[in-house]
Amino acid sequence: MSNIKLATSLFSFAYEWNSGKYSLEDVIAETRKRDLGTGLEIIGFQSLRGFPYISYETEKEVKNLLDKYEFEPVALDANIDVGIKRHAKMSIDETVEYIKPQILAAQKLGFPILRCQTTAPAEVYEKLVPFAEKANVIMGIELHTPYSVDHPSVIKMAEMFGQMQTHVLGFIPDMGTCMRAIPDALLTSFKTSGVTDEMIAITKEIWHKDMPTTAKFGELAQTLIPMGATPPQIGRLNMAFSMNGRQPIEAWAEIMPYVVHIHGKFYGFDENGDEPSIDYPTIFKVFNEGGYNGYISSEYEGSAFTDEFDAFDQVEKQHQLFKRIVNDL
Amino acid sequence: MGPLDKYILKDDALEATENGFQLKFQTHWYRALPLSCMDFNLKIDGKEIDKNDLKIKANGNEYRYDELLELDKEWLFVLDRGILEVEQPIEKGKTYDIEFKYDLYIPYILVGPQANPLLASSVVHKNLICQ
Repeated sequence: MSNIKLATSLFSFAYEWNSGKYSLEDVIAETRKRDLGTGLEIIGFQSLRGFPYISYETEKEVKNLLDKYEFEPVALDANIDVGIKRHAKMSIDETVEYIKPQILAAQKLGFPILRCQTTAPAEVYEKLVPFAEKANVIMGIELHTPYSVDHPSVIKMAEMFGQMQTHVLGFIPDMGTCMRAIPDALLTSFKTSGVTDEMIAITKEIWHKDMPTTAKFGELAQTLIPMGATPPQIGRLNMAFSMNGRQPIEAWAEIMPYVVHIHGKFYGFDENGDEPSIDYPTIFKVFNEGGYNGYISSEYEGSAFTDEFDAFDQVEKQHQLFKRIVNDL
Repeated sequence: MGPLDKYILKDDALEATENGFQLKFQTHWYRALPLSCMDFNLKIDGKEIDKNDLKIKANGNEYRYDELLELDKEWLFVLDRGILEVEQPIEKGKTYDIEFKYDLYIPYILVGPQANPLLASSVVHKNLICQ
């Protein structure tokens, strides 16, 4: 028995969306038609023109679509763009002010959670607590690789959560943080930049080692340069380390009481419909045993590396897998 | 750099204007970014355009290249196109070899010891018929 609910993040359809062939209604209608869960997650800067400022028309449109296609608004994704000026980072107070309109956007559109990012330190979110409490919007800090539960920033964040005693702070674990393998589809996509099978094999071997990501970058360069790998090729292979985390799934138990939402990142499926790089049966087991009863959103990463598959088909496959797992729990 | 690159320059991207030409471009990231996070390099028939000769337009507003870094409030939505304008006459109906390097500095992904925005760079090289 599981109380975990299924949602879809419109991030999954980036390739289709950027083509300009779909309206927001088209994307949401297709998500409903394919039965991709009861919840919906939207990235403000992806789906809404003028974000974070929400016009009356946009508010009406989004609410009408959620209503018409029977989706519960689960999370609105903010971006914490501290490097927006490129040559100078935002100060703590500037970052606080940058996030406020995004909190108000979530409030206006009726999303209970605003996905936030680790590019802002704990201090920023601590300062935002009264504002978020007033808006009644939960700031869900996404734990995206390399921000695993033992990362110093995450430990600090969790300590602050404990001190603040508020319902508006939480974590959104991203399942790309706890992978069991580098996705083959990702590695194959690197071949377009001339990466060889041997280089891929070495990358896989280093990825499995228990050492910090920075040390992996070093070892990869040291091994591949004598083999004739170019800097762009090494840069592509570094992505395998920066996109795919190796935190043990069981470690999520340490922050379980703070989990408000989950990102169901995925790359592809084998012939049995399983995700070879992410162990979803164990993930569901760990969160279920931890008493988690919120949503998990499908996040298809395909638009970053391949246009071989239709994203709606891919999300549908993930939901079939999730339903199978939930039935077996 | 990835599958979204195919949307950067559409077939109608190159257009003659009264004083020269313009190139209409769409982002290769999944979300809107402001002009401050962008940089451009444009070659036409193998000849690089001096960046100081580029005018950048977005949402009906026009800027000089040296203003780019300050434009953190001029957003380019993912489905809208920005425009580079150059005062160099070209011929309508003629095909030109366009090489467009479109750099995005991702403001929420900080990398390296200095924690700088991640550079996502894409190059599109194609022949375009001037509209």
